Amino acid sequence: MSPKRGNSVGAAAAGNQEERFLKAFDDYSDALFRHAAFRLSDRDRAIDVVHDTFAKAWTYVRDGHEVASFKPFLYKVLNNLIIDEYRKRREASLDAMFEVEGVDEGTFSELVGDDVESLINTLDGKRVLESLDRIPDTYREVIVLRYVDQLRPREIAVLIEETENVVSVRLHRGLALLKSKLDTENAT
Amino acid sequence: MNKFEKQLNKTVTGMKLSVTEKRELRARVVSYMEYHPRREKVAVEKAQAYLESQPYRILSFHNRFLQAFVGAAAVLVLIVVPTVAERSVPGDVLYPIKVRINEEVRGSLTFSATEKIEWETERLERRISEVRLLASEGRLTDETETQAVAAVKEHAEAAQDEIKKLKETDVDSATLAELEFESALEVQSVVLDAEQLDAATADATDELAVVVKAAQAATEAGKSTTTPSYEKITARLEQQTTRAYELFASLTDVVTPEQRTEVERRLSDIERKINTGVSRYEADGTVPLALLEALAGTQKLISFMTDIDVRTSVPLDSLVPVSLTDEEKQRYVNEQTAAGNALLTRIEEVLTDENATESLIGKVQVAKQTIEVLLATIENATQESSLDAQYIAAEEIAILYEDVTLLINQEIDSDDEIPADVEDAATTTDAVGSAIGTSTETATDTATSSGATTTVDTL
Repeated sequence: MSPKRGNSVGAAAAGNQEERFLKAFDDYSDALFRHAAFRLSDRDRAIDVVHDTFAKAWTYVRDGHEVASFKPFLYKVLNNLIIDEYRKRREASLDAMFEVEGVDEGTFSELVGDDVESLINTLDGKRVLESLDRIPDTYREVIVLRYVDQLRPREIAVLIEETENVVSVRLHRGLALLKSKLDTENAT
Repeated sequence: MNKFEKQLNKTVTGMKLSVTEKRELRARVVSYMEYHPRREKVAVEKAQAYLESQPYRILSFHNRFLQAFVGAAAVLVLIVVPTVAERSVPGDVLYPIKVRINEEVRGSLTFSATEKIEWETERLERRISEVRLLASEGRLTDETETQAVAAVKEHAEAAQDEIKKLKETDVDSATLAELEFESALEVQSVVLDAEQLDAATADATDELAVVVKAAQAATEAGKSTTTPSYEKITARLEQQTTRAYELFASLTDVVTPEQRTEVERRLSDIERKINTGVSRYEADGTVPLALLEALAGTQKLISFMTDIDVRTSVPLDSLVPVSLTDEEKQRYVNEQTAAGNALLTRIEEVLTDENATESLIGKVQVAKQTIEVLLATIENATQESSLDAQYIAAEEIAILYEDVTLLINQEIDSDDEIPADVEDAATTTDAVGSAIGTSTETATDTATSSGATTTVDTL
């Protein structure tokens, strides 16, 4: 199907494009806000980013593109915006950068779900979320998507355009990092 | 669900937009959408607006031949047909277009009541001249004649209605319009009367003449008695005389030199009447009738100049008689005074003529007294320097002169014998004739028979 034809099909559904978009807002704005709030640790900024997400998404729709399913699409847009936000902030410490580096395929233990489960059991959920801003966004991203947005590793992999393995490794490492941060905190 | 997830969930669900925040965010998104409508939607709306702004675009002809054909058809329908139709006469294919489309369109473009009356008058004139044209070509049928009569009646009534309506709002303009309409009818009436003398067209135009006369009578009956204001008359005069002069200028090549001189004379008459009227108004503030006469004259003159039928069928004199200047009047008065005196001499001769019958003597004695009275009137009027009174008396003398001369001639002409003293009498009356300067022929005739001896009482 040529792009032009795609457009004309879109035009056929023209009347309800706006309705569909607003329904997506009603359905997902809360989840998106929550995601943004945990990622950015800034309520007002989160609202702005969610707004920008919908604005960007709408721009895409108004250009005549068809969006089959809004949920992954909106998450994708929001995620990209949050990444942009971090790039703008440039506040990542040298430490954080080093910590991010060298995310490889991961060790066996990191890739086994049980290992993650056992790690989780040692953590306090509330404190994890409060401490999220203390780990690099790369980890925070997957942790928020997994535990706040309740996405499965496969979905996260599609969203952040990485393999499922990478997602699992990041989850494991992120949680390990959080644990070590919290443990140090408790020790002091 | 383990402890971690429980704790997590609690925190996560606690993190949400307040109702106000959500409402505000939604409003922001909606307004963003409104300011950035979908392209297709924009395109559709733009296209609609474009189509609506150019309705003719809906009729789009893409084929070049079709375009040419449509163009040619449009030219034919909008330009050629109406132009050709304008020259049609009843019975022609295009005549209905002339009457029902061309004339109605022109009529719908008239806005003031005066314009409407003028247009109705013109339509009336058109119908009459169509009939006249058809009659002169022998193509007039009863049907077309009936139609024309109905149309003339209709236009006359329409004009009268308009005048009536105008009277309610503007009496002065209505009176002027009435005067002009009356003049136009008069012209038509005179022309139709002239045609009655022509056997070929007499029958055909009979009914028309009746209708026009009826319209004249109706207008006369409803005529307002008020004299329009000076300003209105002069304004209208200005307008109509300008039109008359323009027509005259454009006609110079079309009319005969005689007609040219005649029209020129009428124009200068009108000019003079206006001047007299204006100076009288300035002197005593009353609106003189001379101005209205001037307007009626101008109107007739315009009809004469615009309508070739009128021009060819009636002499201008029967429409607008020459009005004399003061010098001309003075000369006329002088001439008639001389004629009156000559007539007195002649009557003296008759009285001393032993052959004159008693009845003739009786008649000429009455004439003698009348002439003496009239001459005295002229004398008095001269002292009062009232030229008009002199003129009226002079006119009476002229009539009397003609009658009495005829009477004497008839009395004496019936005689078989030629009188002996013809030579003498001839010389004297010849002198009288040349002194009068007019009717020399009659004078000579009279002289020839002046010495008649036999009296025949024929009168």
